[in-house]
Amino acid sequence: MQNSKFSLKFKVFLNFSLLTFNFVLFASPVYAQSLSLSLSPPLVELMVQPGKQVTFSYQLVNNSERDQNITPLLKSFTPDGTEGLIAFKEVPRNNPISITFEGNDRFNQPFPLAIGETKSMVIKIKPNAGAPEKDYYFTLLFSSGDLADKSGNQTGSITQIGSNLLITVSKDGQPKLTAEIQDFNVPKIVDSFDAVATDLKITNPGNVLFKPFGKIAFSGWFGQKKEIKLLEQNVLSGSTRRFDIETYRPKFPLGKYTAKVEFEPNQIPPSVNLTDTFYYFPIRLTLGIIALLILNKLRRLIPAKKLISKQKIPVI
Amino acid sequence: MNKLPYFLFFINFYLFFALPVYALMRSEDYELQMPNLNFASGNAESAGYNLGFTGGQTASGAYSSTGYRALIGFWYLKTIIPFSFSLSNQVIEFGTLSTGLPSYGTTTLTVSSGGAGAYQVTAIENRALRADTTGSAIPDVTGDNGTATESTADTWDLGTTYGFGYSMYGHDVPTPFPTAGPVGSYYKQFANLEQDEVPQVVMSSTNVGKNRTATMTYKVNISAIQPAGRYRNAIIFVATPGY
Repeated sequence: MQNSKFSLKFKVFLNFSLLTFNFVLFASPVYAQSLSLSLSPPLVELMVQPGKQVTFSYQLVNNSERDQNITPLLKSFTPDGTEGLIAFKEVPRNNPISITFEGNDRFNQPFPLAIGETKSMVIKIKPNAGAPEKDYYFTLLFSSGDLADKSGNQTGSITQIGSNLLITVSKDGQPKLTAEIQDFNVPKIVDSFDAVATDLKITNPGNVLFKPFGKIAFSGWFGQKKEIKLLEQNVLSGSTRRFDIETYRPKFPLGKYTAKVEFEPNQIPPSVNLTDTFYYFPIRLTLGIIALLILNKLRRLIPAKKLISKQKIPVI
Repeated sequence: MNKLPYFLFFINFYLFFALPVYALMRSEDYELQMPNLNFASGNAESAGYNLGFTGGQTASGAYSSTGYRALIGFWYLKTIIPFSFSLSNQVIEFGTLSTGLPSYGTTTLTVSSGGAGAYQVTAIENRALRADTTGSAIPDVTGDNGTATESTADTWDLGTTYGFGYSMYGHDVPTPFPTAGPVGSYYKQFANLEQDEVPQVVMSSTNVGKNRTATMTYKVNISAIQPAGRYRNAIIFVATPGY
């Protein structure tokens, strides 16, 4: 009898342990008393002919602790600064791009999204037949809020999560691209113990966005060369974008070097390029040697002065 | 015979082997969004690299011609990382407000941004903290030196400085807020939608990132002449990726 009881207890203990293990391993993350949304894709780039329609799908996931009421919104945006950020504005009344949902969803009309639910939505985009051939930038926003009218003094919140739409309207798919290098700066003199940092800003004065495909090529003495590929980030119409460039330090950092930036917008010639020259010189080492020489000179002078001051001149 | 152990075993068996299905499959002409049929795939890593690979996909790569550019292949889709934003507390309760005794509340903002690179979170209040019954409002704080605005921070240490404002610490917060806790002495006003002010960036980065977290501390302090009432407003957070 005792043996069977022990066996039963062991079985129960083992199964509860495994049960706990499985829940820990496979349980979905729970965001306690929170709002949590995720949206995919975060960025959509399209090229569409006037009068033609394209569709694509978004997925919105509610990872919150409770059900949400989500309201889809549409905003227009312009680039803000040089770091790839945006500033909203209202969609113009004469907007020639029709953006609607397929099915029953509508902008400014809320829909429920249960805990853990993923909602797929199909967006239809259609430029008018007479839409000017240029870029149009929008953000699709999904808004949810909790302004619960509880007693007491409180601050509620409305949370909006967005995805950006970059739409190029073009009849032939070969819009004219215009690119300029606004800034390409390399320090003129670089200490031999330092890596050289490059500042690059590319401007798009045209009507259509592009990605720069290219590189920065460093070259110096003894055939030293290094190429750093540019990140193919979007440069939107009418904006300037700063590019992060990794620093470069040659094996023999002494003497004259050149840095040449060259790229093609969307891999379409002609390329845009600019060359700058800089010099590696052991600045800190040289200053250190000079400082030592000066100190050495001073050290030699000081004992002679002390000897003179200590001598007593006899008074006659 | 006690059947409990067998029942529990069945539950364990089900949970362990009934793994969630990640593939999106549909009926009526089946639509496979994410799965890729190939002879080899996986992830490999070394000290300096992470590599995801698939073997067996034919004709993968980037193609372009007049009027189109196509990115063909599993990894062009796989690297589309969802953009996510979460708020730990949707409603901040300040409790009973007393003259010269500040009340605080916190919420944590978390952002994951991978596919597009760069992100920003802006914040704006729909109105000042206001009691609907009387119409009286708790003003936005101007700081100990009277210089705090929606874009400029000022210290707020004095118990005789009244108003409503916020401070932050954590990832990707603007200066002068610190990158690590505890919360510092600097506070800002929220931009005010009723006054047509511009929403202010409270988190931003030019890099991809997962679970970038910042804590926002709300602070409210009232004067002796503040009329009684239930004061409420709402903060509108907008999280968007870059381009």
